[in-house]
Amino acid sequence: MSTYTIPVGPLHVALEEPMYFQVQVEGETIVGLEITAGHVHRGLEYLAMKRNIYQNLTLLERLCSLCSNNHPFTYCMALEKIAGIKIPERAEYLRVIADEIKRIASNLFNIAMLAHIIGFDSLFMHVMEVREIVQDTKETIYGNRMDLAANCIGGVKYDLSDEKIKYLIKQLDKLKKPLEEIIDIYMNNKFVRARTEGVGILPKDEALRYGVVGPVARGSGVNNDVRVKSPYAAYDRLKVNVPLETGCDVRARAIVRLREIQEAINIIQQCLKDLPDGPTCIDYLPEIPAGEAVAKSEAPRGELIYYLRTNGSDIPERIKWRVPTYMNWEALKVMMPGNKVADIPLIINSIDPCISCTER
Amino acid sequence: MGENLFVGMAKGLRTWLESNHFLPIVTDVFLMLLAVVGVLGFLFLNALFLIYYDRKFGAWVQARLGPNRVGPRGIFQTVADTLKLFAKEIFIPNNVDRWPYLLAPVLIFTIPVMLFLVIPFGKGMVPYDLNLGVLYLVAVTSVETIVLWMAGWSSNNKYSLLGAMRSVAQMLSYEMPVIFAMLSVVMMAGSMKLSDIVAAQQKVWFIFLQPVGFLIYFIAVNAEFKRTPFDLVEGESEIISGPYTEYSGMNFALFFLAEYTNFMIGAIMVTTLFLGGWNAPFGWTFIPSWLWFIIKMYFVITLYMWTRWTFLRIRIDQMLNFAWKFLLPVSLVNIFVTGVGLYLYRMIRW
Repeated sequence: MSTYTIPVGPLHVALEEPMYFQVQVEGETIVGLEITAGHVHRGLEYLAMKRNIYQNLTLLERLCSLCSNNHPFTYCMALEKIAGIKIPERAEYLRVIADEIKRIASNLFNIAMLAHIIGFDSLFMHVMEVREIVQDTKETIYGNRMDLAANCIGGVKYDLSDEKIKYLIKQLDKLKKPLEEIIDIYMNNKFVRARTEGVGILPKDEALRYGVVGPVARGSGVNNDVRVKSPYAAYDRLKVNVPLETGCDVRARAIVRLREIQEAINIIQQCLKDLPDGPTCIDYLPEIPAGEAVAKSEAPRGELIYYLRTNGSDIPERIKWRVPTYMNWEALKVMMPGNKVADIPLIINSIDPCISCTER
Repeated sequence: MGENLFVGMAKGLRTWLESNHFLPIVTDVFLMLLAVVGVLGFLFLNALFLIYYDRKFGAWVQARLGPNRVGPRGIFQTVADTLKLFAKEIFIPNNVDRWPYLLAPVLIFTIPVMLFLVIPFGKGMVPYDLNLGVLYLVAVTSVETIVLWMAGWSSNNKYSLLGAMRSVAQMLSYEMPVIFAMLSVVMMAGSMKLSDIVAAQQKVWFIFLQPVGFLIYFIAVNAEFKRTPFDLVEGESEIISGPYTEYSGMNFALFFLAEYTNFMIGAIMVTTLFLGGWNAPFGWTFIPSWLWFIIKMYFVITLYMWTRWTFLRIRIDQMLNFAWKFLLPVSLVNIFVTGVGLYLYRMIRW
């Protein structure tokens, strides 16, 4: 049987964002893959070097929709490292809360997309309905359903009143039961298992070789969670259980994401329990001296690294970030071969690609 | 009173035409045409309603509202969609194989119309009572695959071709269980004439005598007509829209309508072969037979929609495995058991 090429993308029904995959196929079996990127390049890296450090907060939040909180978060951490700012303790906790809420929403979205791709639209709708609880929470606390605008240099822009804390606890409790149901479906439903088990295998040694990050790595049994390996913000004071799976397949990655949602709820509850009093932000406008810094955080998709160099002016001299998808999409070349054409979108979705972040 | 509505109308028309001294051939042709128009009307109206019903049913399952803007409760949504598709340009890509490409959407709609030829809609309401009705049904349904293959290959598109290849694989593997399940019914009824099969179910429906056959048939027909969990031919998130990918405007609408008419045929076949056709259950003959037929048809359609919205799309290898390694052996065993059973029954009887 001869091979032929199937184009998947740049615009394809199962891809949320433009990305071009040339898939070599033999009959219905995949034998090779070539990735071409560059369809949503918006010149954001250059743009960020034309704006001052305060404007960049707003700009970087618009880099990506689903991990939008992590970008300004990590950027602020890099800036604070250069300026040597110690942010108030309450702000650290509030940053963690904002981050974990975004993680819940992001992971639920990816899980819902998985259901859509395997043709289970009722489950897709159900998961999206559950996600609506998180969206409502975001809207109530931050005034926005997508971009939280929670971070600023030296702290956070929002505060949690007692009333809001009560509301947040209520919403998290509301989330728990449907979440357990969803986990049960993804783990035990025979049809979902049949479609996801043994698909897109990334063995542990290959995962280490490609340096994959986030749930993709944890689905292959590699624990490189930044929250545990090099804690930032308030994570050194919180107990974070990192869910690990050894299935190495699409199912394992989905379960890692689902378990992470449970863990995120846990973390937020811990935060709310020992939320210290005090200011939420430093009360002066900091001077940013010349210097350079690297900051990293755990985005919903994996490790996010920011490199920032300043020269004493208020415009950054160089700003660069390495997003999780950049590390993960190369591993698609290991996951794809040997699977069926029907699994292409499923495997692509399993690394939760965020093309807007990656191509800026 | 409603029982003889359509039959009476046809009879009255015939007597009126004959009393006006038309040639007998003119009378026959006129009445035949009328039957065709009736069948087409039934088909189109039901297909239009089915699309709406499917969307509404999906909405109920998923706790949404579904279409609710055009007309009361959105009942005219499909009509509006069809009109929109009428107004669209029929775009023909450069590299398609023109004739088969344009012929396919026309041919796909002739198949359901042809199938309606032998269906007994009610007491005395069969357009043409063929004595090989079952064989005819099987033969004509499988022609659909050729049309899909035509569409897929002539589109000159890899997604289309993949979809067409899948449809052929699906037909080849699910035709067997369908035929064997039908065979078990034919063995029970002792005839291939559909009206005989319906008449044989006057006392007991075949679903009670052939539960295994019914299940096999129910599943295999679902696969034959490419509904979830066997909708790989379209496989929306994998191969865009399968053989329909390159079609636009009314050409696409024809495929879409044909899909739903096929779906309806599936339900009608289940009704006729296993649910007693137009026979009234519990002797409730105050509801006319053709109404019973429609009620049963919609019951089966609802079952199929329920399946559709609660299952996901399986992969091609899983689908083929299921057909060859499970359905086919089970249906063979079923045929054997039916044969032995019938033999014993007759021995005891006589």
